Amino acid sequence: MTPERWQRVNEVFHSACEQPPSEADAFARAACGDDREMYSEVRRMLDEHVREGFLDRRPWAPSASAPPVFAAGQIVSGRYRIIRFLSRGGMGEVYEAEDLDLKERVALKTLLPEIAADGRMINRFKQEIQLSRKISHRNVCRVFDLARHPADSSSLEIIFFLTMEFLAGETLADKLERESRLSPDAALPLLEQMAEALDAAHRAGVIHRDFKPSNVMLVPCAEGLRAVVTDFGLARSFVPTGDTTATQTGTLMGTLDYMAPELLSGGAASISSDVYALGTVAYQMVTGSLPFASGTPLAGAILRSKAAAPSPRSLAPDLDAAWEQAILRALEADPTRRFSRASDFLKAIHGEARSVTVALPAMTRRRITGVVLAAIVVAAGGVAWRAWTRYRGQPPPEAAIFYHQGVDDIHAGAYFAATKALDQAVRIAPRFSLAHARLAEAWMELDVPEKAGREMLLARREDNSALSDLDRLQIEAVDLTVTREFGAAAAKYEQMRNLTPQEADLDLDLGRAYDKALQPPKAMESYRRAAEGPSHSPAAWLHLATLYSRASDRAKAEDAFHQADELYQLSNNLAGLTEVAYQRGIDANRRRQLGEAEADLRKAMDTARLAGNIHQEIRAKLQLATNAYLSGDTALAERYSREALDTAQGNQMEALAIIGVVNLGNAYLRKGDFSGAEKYYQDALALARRNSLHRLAALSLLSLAGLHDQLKRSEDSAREAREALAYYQFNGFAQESFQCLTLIGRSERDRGNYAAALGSFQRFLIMAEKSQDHLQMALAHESLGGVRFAQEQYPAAWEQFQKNLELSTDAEHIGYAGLWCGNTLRLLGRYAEARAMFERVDPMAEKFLSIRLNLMQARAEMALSRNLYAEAAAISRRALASDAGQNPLATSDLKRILGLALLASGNRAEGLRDCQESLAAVAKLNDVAATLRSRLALLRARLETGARAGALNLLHDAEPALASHPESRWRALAWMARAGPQYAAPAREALDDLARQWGAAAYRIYLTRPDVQELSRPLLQSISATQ
Amino acid sequence: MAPSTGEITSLLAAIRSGDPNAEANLVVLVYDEFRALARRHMRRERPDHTLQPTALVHEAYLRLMRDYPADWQSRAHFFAAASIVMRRILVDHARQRAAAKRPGGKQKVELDGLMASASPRIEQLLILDQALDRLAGWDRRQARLVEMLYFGGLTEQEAAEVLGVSVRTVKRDWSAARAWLQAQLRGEPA
Repeated sequence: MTPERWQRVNEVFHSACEQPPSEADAFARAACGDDREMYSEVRRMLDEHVREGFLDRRPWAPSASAPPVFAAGQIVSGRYRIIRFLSRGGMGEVYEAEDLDLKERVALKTLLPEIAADGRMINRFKQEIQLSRKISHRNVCRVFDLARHPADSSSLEIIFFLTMEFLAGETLADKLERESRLSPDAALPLLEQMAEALDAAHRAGVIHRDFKPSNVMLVPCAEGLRAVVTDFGLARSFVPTGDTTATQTGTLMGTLDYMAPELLSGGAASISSDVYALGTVAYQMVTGSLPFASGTPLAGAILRSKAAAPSPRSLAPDLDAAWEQAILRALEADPTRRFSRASDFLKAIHGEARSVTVALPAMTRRRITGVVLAAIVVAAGGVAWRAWTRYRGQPPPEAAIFYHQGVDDIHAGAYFAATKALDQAVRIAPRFSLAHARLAEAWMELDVPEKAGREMLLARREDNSALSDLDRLQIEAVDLTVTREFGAAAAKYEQMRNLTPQEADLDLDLGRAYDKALQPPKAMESYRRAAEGPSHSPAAWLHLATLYSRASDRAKAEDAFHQADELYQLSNNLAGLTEVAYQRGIDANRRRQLGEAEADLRKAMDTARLAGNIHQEIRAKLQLATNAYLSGDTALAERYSREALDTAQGNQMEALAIIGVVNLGNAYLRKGDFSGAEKYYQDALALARRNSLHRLAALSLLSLAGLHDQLKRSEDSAREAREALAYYQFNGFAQESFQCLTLIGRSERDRGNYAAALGSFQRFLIMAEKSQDHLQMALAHESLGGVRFAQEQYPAAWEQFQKNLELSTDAEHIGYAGLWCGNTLRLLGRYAEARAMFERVDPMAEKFLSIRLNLMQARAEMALSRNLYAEAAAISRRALASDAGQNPLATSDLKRILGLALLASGNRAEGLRDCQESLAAVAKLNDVAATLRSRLALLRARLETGARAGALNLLHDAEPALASHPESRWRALAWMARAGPQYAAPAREALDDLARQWGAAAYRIYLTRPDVQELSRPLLQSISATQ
Repeated sequence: MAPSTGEITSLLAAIRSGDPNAEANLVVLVYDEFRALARRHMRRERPDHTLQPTALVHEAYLRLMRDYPADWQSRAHFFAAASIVMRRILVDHARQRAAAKRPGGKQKVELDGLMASASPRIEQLLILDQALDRLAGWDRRQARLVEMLYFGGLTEQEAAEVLGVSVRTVKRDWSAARAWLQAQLRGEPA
């Protein structure tokens, strides 16, 4: 529409409105003339003009008042009988109900359907439970659980509600409304209880944020009135989104009248702001009005940031001087000048004020407070209460908050952040032995053993005899963790659990100990307790997610990641969110969903950057580099590695810098620049050794071993892998140990040391089974099968490959597992099963070039063994014409098949040449089994072309290998027997030997192979003839 | 008592010149206006809307200070800006809620049955927001007026002052804009 046209529409509309209603339409029709569109526009406007609509209701007016959702007598959720409707609150309705299971009265607090539609709000409620459950105190309202009720079977609507302690009484707000003010004697016991409630919360690291008279229930009891504080942490949870304004909005959601001035300027809530609110409530209780009675709360709020509070004695002249001073101090505009604890306020009222203040220089305190405030925001809900109540030495609250944050960081896997927080804690309280122990744990995780040892020493040096049993056990458990005695550490934590069950932090520690002690089922059990219990710990969900991911339980892993993410979002815990995204990336990587992994890792990188967490940012970048190699983008991989390296070096993060160097080596390896890769790996190794970073030295060695494996420098590879394994296995690094064992086993296998290889892979399998890591278990079975296959023990190989296939979940692994199975089956003469297996692999061949080539080769081999020479030749030619030329092993095998097929179909000259080329191609590789295959093919070609001497030479060359390859052995001898009868008896013996080794059943089927029949018939006949 | 235009204007000037106290003083002065504005819409004082009026006011103020630090010429502009902010808060709020409800939306709602409680108001608020953008395309003044009367909760008198037109014009503009927008909300004609 143009402005002019709109102008015209308006004119017609207004003129029509001025007509008598019955004529308006006719008027409009006439005024619009031929312009039907305009008429239709005006017509619709005229219709709207006379009826009520959306714009007549103001956007923030509440929706039509609904009757209470539950009726008296109704049974809700099959468990609660509604007694009566009590009130409507900010979140929904409150009812009194009877818990029919426990036969006690509870309060039900429903969640408005509108709020419940927001999955975030459901989590918010969960968090409210989490927060409240941390504080177990007579003056804090107990919250039981979040439950749901199908409100109406005809609709799908579900009502969510919280169950909590039923408090029969009125709110302090009601009482003040009625009585206006209380005498100091009446106010004091109530204030004492409120202060105790706040103190208990603060010790648990929970800030109320919205303390006010309507959040205090007064319950008549034998001693008078029991004051119970409700709705802890509610205000903060009102965060509508994860965007940057969220925290701001969140902090501003409290009630203004009781809000400390610093909150208005965007500061975070703190113990001090709760003390301010308590002071305001006290003021109101004894004077009957608010300290800044300016008519409007915000005006009052602004005033209080500028002016000192007027003395309460101006309103209540009889008030005691101690009261006056205490209240004014609680209402100081500068948070650092208020009481540092709610109970100190009460002590001051009792006249013991001066002695209890913390005498830190003003500047230091301000700085610390600033950091603490920031810390509280990040520390979110996951702060423990346990350590506090046990800690008799009672560190100052600032130190305790840092301690809890550090422990949270450890639980979330953010060890670098943990060292920072715990460092602050011990700086404030140098004799805080628990904090020293935890700091040691964090350094240990970061592989800085020197610092870990020093901190542990400090923790042990303190006189810990005054500590409670739990605290002492905790220090011992951490000590065992630091010395990597994880089983013993788990036992200590179990001991603690006997003393204090149902503690999320303890369950997290226990889970970590079991995880490291390679007992994943027990680890899961512990994490599940922490995750699904009342505390809804996001860190526990995150750990569960990684364990599920390792066990390839995709659905459960995803669900757990989701829970962790939601809970961290609720608390704006950026470190936690980064960790979730990072672990999701690792998980996607494990599933070879590289695009998905990249997106997750980018998110991790961005979140870390947003939070200014350099350590996490670099880590995400390094993983992105790894991802880039896997997807074949070496340039990108190199770029990420370099960036990570630069940042790490710029920030004196040697460890990360070394990982960056290793990653650069990986990039060069992918590019095929082996000498470049070697140089970087050696640099990394030297750097790591210089800095005594043992873990990274092991990583460099492992990388070198991998490189040398590719280069078939088997001995170097095995040596390096063994050296790395010594570190990894001793220190309980399962994944890396697997890699070492694989490399060692592979190098042994290639060198024909099958017993050593089997031993190595067997250890690998045991470790993988212990940790229930499906991917690693599959790989172990594949490796074991591979050795058996190389040994020509096909029935044994088949068992391993079957297990490998069962455990494989992603397309690529299934493809390879299927190939192994099919190849084994075809060698055993089970053609129909082999064919079915290859057909199963076909879809994967489209995506993976290497699988495609292997599949062609397998089909060519099968055709050859069935004496279908033309087919075998055609397939191998096609495969050779494709990309197989890049791979010397595949080229050798395909040439061999082609040569044998040509030979059998009469093309001897060409057949001989192909067999020669096959052996030439494999000669450079240090691969015993492949060399043997080619030698035997050439032997046969020489025999068929009459070069008997040459054949004999080959037999001699092959002799050592034949001793450990029973199938090749009888075949070689059978071929020789065709030229010289003296070989017939040894050939027959070798065949019998094979039957013994494979077992009768497998052997019988094997004998039905057309090529085997052809070769074995003379042997079997001649023997039966002589008998 | 409402603060005078002069006071606010001079405070706005002071804020522009970087006086840190001016901002706080301004809040004191305009709070009554904001408070009254919020109250007008919450007359029954039922606190069961998730967006509480006090929160709304504070958020509005914070956003104003952030988004329009130097653009106010007068109290009139202040109120016009306030209305824009109100609109934005409500629409943002609705968007988040709508996103939370959509399957596959950013916030996955996993609990079955929650879809049933989708409130039509949220959807309509979003449609209104878009329709208002279109209206602004050909009649800026009417769109501003809707912002002030509907989102900002100003009276016709106040809006007339802000826009520098007569109350009669405000009434006429409002009735046309209201009718047109409501027709858009009703859906396309058959």
